[in-house]
This record gives sequence, C-alpha cells and structure tokens, in this order.
Amino acid sequence: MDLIEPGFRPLYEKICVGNKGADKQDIFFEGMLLSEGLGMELSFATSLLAEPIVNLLLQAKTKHGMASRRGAILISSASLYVLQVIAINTSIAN
Amino acid sequence: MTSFIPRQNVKFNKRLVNIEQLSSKLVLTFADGEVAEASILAGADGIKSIVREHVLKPQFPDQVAPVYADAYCYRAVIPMADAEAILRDLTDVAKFYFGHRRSAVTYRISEGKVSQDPCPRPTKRPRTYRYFSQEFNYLLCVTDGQGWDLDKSVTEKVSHEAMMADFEGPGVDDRFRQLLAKANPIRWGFFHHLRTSTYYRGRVALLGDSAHASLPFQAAGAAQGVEDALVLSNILSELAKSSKEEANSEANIVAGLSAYDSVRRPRAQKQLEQAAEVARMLFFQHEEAGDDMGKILPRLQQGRFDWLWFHDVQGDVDKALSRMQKPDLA
Repeated sequence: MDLIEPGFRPLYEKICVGNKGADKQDIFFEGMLLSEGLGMELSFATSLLAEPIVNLLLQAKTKHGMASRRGAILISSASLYVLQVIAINTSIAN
Repeated sequence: MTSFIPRQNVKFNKRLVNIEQLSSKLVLTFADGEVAEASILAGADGIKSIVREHVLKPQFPDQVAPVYADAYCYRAVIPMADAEAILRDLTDVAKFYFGHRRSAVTYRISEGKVSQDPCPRPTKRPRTYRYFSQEFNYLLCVTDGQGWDLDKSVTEKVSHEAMMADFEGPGVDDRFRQLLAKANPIRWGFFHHLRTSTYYRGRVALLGDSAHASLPFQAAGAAQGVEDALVLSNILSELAKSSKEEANSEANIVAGLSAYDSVRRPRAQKQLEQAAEVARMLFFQHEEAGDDMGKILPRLQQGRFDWLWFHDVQGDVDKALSRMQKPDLA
C-alpha cells in the first residue's frame, strides 16, 4: 500500500481490527476443533508446536527482522495459551 | 481510500457488454449504449467478469467460469457481547475450527472506536462523531460434494430448518449451533478461479478477483489484488512516459502486460492453490493429512506463509519493468 500511495496506510490502520489484547496482535489465527469441547482436552498441540514455534521465531529474526514477526501464525489448543505469550514476546538475544 | 481518486474519473452504474480489439485501440460498449475508446483495459470486475471472458474464451474457454469448491458457508456479524455470551474469551483471537465436513472461521471486525466525522473545517456544521460498535464475524462452513445448482447466483436462500440441519449431529460443539441460529439462512457458495492460463490478451488485462478469485482461507485474496495494482500501475506509468504514439503501440502494450502477467500470475495462483489446500485441511479432506491434526498442524506452520507475507513487492515491480523493456530476456 505504501508503494501505491503513502496516504493509504494511515487510512487502513484507522479501520483495521486485530485480535483483542496487545500481546495477541501477532497471531494470524489459532486452530481448534469444531467437535464437542473444541479439542481443549487434547494434548496434541503441546508436543507438536514447541519446535515449530521456535523455528518460526528464528526465521523471523534472521530473515526479516523483528518487524516481520507481525502476522506470525500460531495454532493451538487452549492448553497452549501460555506458550503463545512466551513465543511472541520473547526475543533471542544470544 | 477513494479520496485519492479524482471524482471526475469515476462513472457509476455502467455495465460493460462488449470489448472489441482493433490494432490501434479498444472499443468498449456499455449497456446504456455508450461507446468508449481506450488504449488499454484493466478489468477488475470481480469473480464473474466479462473482461475475463474476453481474455480467456478464445484460447481457454473452460477457464472462464468460476469453479465451485464443493463448499458453502453461512455468514453473520453479531454484536461482540452476543458472541462473548456464547464463546467467552474465544472471541479474543481469530480462530479456525477444524472438523469433518464442517468447519468454522471466526474473527473480530470492529473495535468500538469513536470516529470523528471527516468533514474538513472550517464549516458551520458542528463536528460530529460516529460510534462503531464492537462486532464479531463468523463463517460456518459446510462441504457436501453435491455441486451448486444455481447458475446465476453465488447465494442460495434456504429454510432455517435446513440451515440448522447442516450442523446437527455429533462432531459439532453446541456453541456453533447457537452461533448458527443467529445467521440468516443463506448459503454462500465458495467459488474460485482455480486455473487461469493468462492474465492478459492484447490490450486487455485482468486484476483482482477477475484474475484470481480465491477461497478466503488464507485471508490473502484482496492483498493479491493490491499487488496486481502496484505492478500494473507501474507498467502503465512507464508506458505513459513515452510518446503518445509509442504508448499506444500494441507491441509496447503487449510487452507491458506480458511482463505484468509473468510476474503476478505465478504468485497469485500459488496463493489461491494454497487457500484451497487450507480448505481441504479445515474439512479433514486433505489428501495426505486427512483428519490427523498431527499432520495438519505442521503444514500450516514452519514458514508456510513467509513467501506470502514477507515478499519483496518492489522487487516484483522492478522485475516487471525490466521484462517489459527487454521482453526477449524474460
């Protein structure tokens, strides 16, 4: 948008709606199940996601800079909420 | 955003009914009888596009019509308070809900901001304010493999009972039935342009949904239209720098639109193919992952969206301009 017309972005930002909560703005979406209980009772997410989340952050930092973390995708069951917060707000310094 | 477009350059209530390509110009006929001439036509006329028909029909007639994706949805926008009464804090973050034959997508669409009336001062009118209530948007999706009977419309009104029956039975959390009960009983068919062999013919180009209408499951279709606009506007701007005669030359225009096509089409087509793959995952119909969340989740992570979100679009502009100037090297 900036490349087409610099005035577009402020107008877009004015009406753009993100997730609720400052710490949730980087999440594209969360994945759950449609079935009874929404998958909250399952543990598949915890074991599967730990490594991909780290990978994703490393890629973002090395390839695109911190700004590119905006839009990071996280898929979780409710049991992963703690992991999300850690992943999004943590930068690897060394 | 329309404030950036000179009002006199826009005409509403026009319907293009015929496009004729001559060696030196285009002749465009509208339903109200008006005939216009142009050097180039950029058709951003949506998924059911007469410009698309003009571009594709001679060589690729089977690619003109939108393709039904064997799925439809019920849509609703409700006050956030009503959504929170059903889903509580699950409304906070955008969600995909995966399921057999049925799925759901939910997200917030307005934040309850107070907005100042944009009317510029000085004015005798008192400044006014508009209040946008907090709202929640959702799609409750169904795949059935029954095809889509309606030739002309992408929506179908059904009875409330038929709508509710789509989400009956086991495998659906009751909260989705509560959400569904608040929706209008209208099925919105999912259509896309899965195959498109070219985004231009002669002096005529496609952009936006007319070129690459996509399923909505990567939330990326509109952004692809913006990328089209960026690349094509740079091509047109470059053409306009030359003399009037050269700018209108069919060979130069074809070189420009060919460059636009070569840069934009692979990327836009990849986006819509991936969006269709997400749909198959949402419905547990993916050819490899099936209903195994252990296989679905990794496919949606590990950089799946990097190529889409972190792309060098200025690089695309440069590439298109270079190819336009040296088409033989493209």
